[in-house]
Amino acid sequence: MHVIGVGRDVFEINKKIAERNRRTFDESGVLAINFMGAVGSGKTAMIEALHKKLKGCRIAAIAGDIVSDLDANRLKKLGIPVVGVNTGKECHLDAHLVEHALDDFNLKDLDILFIENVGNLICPVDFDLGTQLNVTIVSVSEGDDTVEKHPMIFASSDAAVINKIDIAEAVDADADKMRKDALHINPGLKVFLTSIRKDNGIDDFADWIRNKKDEGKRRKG
Amino acid sequence: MHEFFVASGIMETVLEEAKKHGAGKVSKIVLEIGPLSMISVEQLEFALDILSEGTIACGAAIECRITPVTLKCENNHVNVVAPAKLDFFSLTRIPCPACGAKTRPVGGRDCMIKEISAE
Repeated sequence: MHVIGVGRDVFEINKKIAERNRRTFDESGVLAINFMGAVGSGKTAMIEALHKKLKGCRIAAIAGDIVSDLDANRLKKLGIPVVGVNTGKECHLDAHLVEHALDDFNLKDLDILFIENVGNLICPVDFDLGTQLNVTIVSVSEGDDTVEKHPMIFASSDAAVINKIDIAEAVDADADKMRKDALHINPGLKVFLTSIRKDNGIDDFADWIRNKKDEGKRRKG
Repeated sequence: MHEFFVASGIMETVLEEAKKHGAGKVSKIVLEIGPLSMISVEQLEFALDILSEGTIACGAAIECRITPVTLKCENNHVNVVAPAKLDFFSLTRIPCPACGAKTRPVGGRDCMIKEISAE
């Protein structure tokens, strides 16, 4: 019997492709945003709401779902380029699926690419997609201990969106506790409290995205 | 639940390495798992058991070593935290024991195939 040293990281291939995706986005001047969040947190609705606010920006979307094309079809109604990605059994998008989907876009004609991950607060943490921004959406109806229970996804995000704040009282949730928990986990996090139905907080979130896009364009020169 | 996906990658590499070294049987697989990865060790072992059936790695012992997390402060001091002492909720709140500055985790999110024992 002998011992064979292997020393290989299982996530290595995903990391390499993610780096390639990041270079592709940077070189094309596209701001790519990975939208993570549980089923029903409002990821698709948020992309629809942001599309309305981000007038003048050339937007496209990748909609990740296990088997259906419901989200992709919803986003296509916005009149933007959309690629639906079915992960089959997998609970997350990975860098390879995103790279493959990029073939169907003309990136040079885009400013912002929204990537809607599969509804899940756990698995997407392990799979960098190569997006310049990672955003986690959590709705108050998931319970105000949801942020506290999923620290790693908030630690890996650039922004957290606490959504559906208009129904917080009805579901007995404290949105401000969720905000504080998110900032405790990740002091560098940008936190937005939003209600899509009441058009609350979406303008601030859209402005933040627009500024990030402009910063990227300036860097590219 | 992406342990099956991770296990497939592990098994592919293990069998590839075993073949490269002309091994007829793999008796042990040693993994190093970063505690900041979202892998459940129990589910990973279960997936590896299933995936190894019918291969030369069938019945191989799986050893999962959970690695410590390294925190680095703004002044580049290194603080190693044992996996059992990790508090994920307050990970970014641990001050540097040497100078009190803010720290951030470095690594701890990998899943390494460290070595295999082959016959």
